[in-house]
Amino acid sequence: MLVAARNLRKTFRSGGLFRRGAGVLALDDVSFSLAEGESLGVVGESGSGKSTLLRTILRLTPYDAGSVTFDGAEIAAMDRGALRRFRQRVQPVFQNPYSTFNPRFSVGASIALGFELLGNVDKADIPGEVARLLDDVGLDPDLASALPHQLSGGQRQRAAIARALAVKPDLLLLDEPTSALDVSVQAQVLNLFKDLQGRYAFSLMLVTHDLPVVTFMCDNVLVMKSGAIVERGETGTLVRDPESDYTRKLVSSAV
Amino acid sequence: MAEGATARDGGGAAPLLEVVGLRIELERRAEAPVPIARDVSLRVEEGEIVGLIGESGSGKTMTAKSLLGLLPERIRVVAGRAMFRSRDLFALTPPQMREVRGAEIALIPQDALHALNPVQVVGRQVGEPVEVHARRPGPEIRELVVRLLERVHIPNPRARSADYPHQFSGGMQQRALTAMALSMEPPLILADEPTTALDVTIQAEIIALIRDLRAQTGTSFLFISHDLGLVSSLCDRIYVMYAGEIVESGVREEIFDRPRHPYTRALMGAAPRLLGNPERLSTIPGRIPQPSEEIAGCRFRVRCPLAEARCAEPPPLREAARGHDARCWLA
Repeated sequence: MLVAARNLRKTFRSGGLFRRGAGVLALDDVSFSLAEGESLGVVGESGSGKSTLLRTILRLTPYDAGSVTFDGAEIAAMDRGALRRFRQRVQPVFQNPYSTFNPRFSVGASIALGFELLGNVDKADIPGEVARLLDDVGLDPDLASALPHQLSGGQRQRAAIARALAVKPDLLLLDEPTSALDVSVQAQVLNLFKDLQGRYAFSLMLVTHDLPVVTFMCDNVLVMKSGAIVERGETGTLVRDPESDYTRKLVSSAV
Repeated sequence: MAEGATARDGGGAAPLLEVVGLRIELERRAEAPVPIARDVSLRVEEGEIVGLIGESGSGKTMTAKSLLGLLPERIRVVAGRAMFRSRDLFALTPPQMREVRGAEIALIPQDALHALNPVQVVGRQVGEPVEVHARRPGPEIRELVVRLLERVHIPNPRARSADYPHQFSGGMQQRALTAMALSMEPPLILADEPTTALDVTIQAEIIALIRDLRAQTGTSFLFISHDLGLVSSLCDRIYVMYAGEIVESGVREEIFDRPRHPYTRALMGAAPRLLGNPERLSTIPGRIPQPSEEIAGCRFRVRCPLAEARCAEPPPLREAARGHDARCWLA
C-alpha cells in the first residue's frame, strides 16, 4: 500500500482564551488505504473532514491519534531526510493555485524550484525541462516568463500541475482542483490529469464535493460526513447502488 | 440588429419582461469602448422560470445587473430597451429605479455572506425592503419577517431573526437573502448563481424552494447560472450566452435534447456525468475570447469544429425549430 491510514482522529479545539469549547471532531476513526496506481476520490460536503484528511496525509495538520504510513513509513515519525523525500514524492494541487504561487516569481522560476530542490537535472538543462513540462500540461512554453497574475484561472491550474510534476511525485493530492474553473476549462484539466497519469504513472487522491468529477476520475471513492467515512467502494457500484442514506442523498442531489 | 424573434408563442399577453437589442459597453480612457453584451434579446413570461447560462465572461451577470441599474462604474447600457410592465427599465431615472428595485424586481445575489451586513441582525435586513418601500410600523414588519423566514424553512424563525449573519450557515444565509427578495412579493426575481457556493444537498433545497415559490405565488425568475445540470432541472426556457451574445434559446427539452449550436453541444459534452462517462470529456479548443477581441463573423468560429467559409459573416439569431432559436449558419 502506498498510503495506509488507521483509526485517524483529529479534534479542532474551539473557544477562546478563557473558556474551552467542546471542539469539532474533524476526523473520527478514519481508516483507508490507497494502492499504487490507484485513483481514490473523497467526497463530502463542507465540514465533512475531507480537506482535513488530505492535509493530514500531507503532514500539514497533525493528528491526535491513529497512524498514517506512506510506503510503509509512519509520516509523523519521519526524520528530516525522510521528510524531504516524502515532500518530493507527495505533491498537492489546491483549488486556488494563485495563492500557492509566489506572485513575484515567474511561472517558470516557480516550476524550476522543483528541479533545483531535487538536483536531478543539470542547471543548464532546467529551462529546457521547464519548457517541456509546460508543453506537457498544454501551456505555451513562452509562458515560463509570465507572472502568475498574467495567467487565466485554467492556465494557472495547469502551471500548478506542471510544478507538482517537476519533482516526479508518486502521489498527487488534489483538493477541489477544478471547482473554480468553468465547465469547458474543467473538462480540459480533468482530461489532462488522466493523460498525465498514463504518462507519469502517479497515484491520485482527489477531494471534492462534486460527485460526477469523482466518477469520471476515480476507481474508488470514500464518502465522508461529520469526520467519518460513511461509505466506500468502487465508484460505479457506489453511485448505482448507494447503501447509506447520506450517499443516496448526495447521488440524488447531483443533477 | 436582429430582433423580432421574440413575441412568437406568447399567446397575446405582453411578456412580464422583454429585453430587446441590449448592448452593454465598458468605457476606456484612450481606447474604443469594449462591448460586454451585444444585441441581447430575451423575455420572461408571467410565472416562468427562465435560465440564462454561460461561462465566465459571457456577459450573463452584467445583463442581469443592467436590468436593475446596478452596473459598475464605466460599464453602461448604450443601446436597447427592457420593457417591464410597459415601462423601459433603461429609461428610468435613479429615483424611479429605486422604486422598482426590491419592490417589483428583486435580486438574489451570488455570494450570500458578502451580500449581508455583518453588523446588523438578519431579521432587520430581511425586513429592509418593506421598511424602505412600504413604510409599515415596526411590529408589523417584525411579524412579516418571521413569516418570511418560516417560508424559506429557517427553523425557529422568531429567535433566528435576531441572529447575526455569521451565526447562519451558508445555506441559511442564502435562504435569508431569498426571504429578503420575496419580502415585497415582486413579480420578478433575478437570481444570480444563488447556489454556486453551496453544498449539493443545500443546493437541492434552494431549487425546491424556488419551485414552490413559483407554484404558490406565480413569481417569475430569471435564473443565471453556469451549471447546465441545474438549469436543466429547474428552468422552463433557457438562453445560452457566449462571448457577450445569446447563441441559442428555447424551451428546456429543445435545448437539452436537441441542442443546435455547436457551443451548447460542446458545453454539454464537457460536463462529467454521474454514470456513463466517456474515457475523455469532450473539450472546446482554445479559450473564451476577451470582450475586447474583435472576431469577424461568428464569435465562436475560431473554436468551432464545424466552422466553414460563411461563418466569417455574422450569423443572425434565427429560428432553427419551433420555439428554438440558434445563432449559427449550420443550425
